[in-house]
Amino acid sequence: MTDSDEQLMAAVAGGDREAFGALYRRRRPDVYRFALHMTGAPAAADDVAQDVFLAVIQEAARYSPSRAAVLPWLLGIARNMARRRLAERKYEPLPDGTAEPAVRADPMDGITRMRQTAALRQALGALPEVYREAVVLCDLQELSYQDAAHVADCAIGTVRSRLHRGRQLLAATMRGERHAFRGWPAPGWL
Amino acid sequence: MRHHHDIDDLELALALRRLADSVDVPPIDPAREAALMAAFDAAAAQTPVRGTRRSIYWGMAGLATAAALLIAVGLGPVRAGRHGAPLEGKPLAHKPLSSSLRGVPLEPVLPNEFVIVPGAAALPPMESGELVRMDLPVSVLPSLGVVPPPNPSARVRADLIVGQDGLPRAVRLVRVTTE
Repeated sequence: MTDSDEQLMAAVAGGDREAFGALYRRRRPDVYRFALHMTGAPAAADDVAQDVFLAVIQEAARYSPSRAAVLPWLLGIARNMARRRLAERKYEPLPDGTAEPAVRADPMDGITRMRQTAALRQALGALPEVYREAVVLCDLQELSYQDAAHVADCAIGTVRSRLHRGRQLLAATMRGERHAFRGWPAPGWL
Repeated sequence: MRHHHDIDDLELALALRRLADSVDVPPIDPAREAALMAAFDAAAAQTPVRGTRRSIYWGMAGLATAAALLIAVGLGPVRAGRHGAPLEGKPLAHKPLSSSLRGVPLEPVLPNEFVIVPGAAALPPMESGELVRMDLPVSVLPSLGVVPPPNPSARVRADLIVGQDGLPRAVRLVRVTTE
């Protein structure tokens, strides 16, 4: 039987080494993705993920499942770490379309989709931080509004409004970029 | 017929989904995982002996000296000198583990030498830190790169050099006691 995140956290707080390893292996990808979308730099995302689980070692006993699920709690820590990294500006964002993370492309329209994804990534990175955060949490990480509000440390209504505004800004950018995506959306998308 | 902004919303949703799926998470770096597990072990070891352990925090001058010395020798074994001698006057049965993380197996060291914990060489340079003396269960020693003494019920007193990020960089045994 697989332990839930909450069970693992309880075990971690009790000093269970295996539970900590299991939680790390299970949730590191989520933390990394969030950090990558927020910082735009794989090196920073790696560092943030590491810092988050270092914080877990120190803070596990303070985790309360009644306040938030484990993933939003982890992403809340990651948010603070990522903001700190962004403030320090120690990392250069990904060059557009060159060193970006690998894209699982469809051979038929891979190039078009890569360009579109790169453009969207660039647009996301250019959003004001609060809007980017809302889009990443709700649309990319697929958190509920409630969980996203916990991560962002704000009201649910604030998350909704930031998400709405963030989507508007992204859509406007994509409309402006549409001429670059001839043939997009690809057949079969709609 | 769809309204224009409906199409935009759907296109955006699909594009966001594709962006989310585009991230390939790199595999776990063994050095980073080892460092995390060592930090976890160190934290777990501290908790049950909180009431009795003695933690010695040196002054900043001493810490800066230790950090500078570590950096100067490339995080190699550092001869300490002050707290190194075993109180019983007996040699301690420990030596650094030959870890693939560090690449080159280290020669057995004297009890008063620091040994680098696995994965420490891959960590960011130590800019500041502290020297912490604590009692550890022997079960923690392998994760710190030290072969434990044969008696499993023994506890060890050890000095750890902890970096600014809270991760132990080096450890040396001070004394082994049998419970």
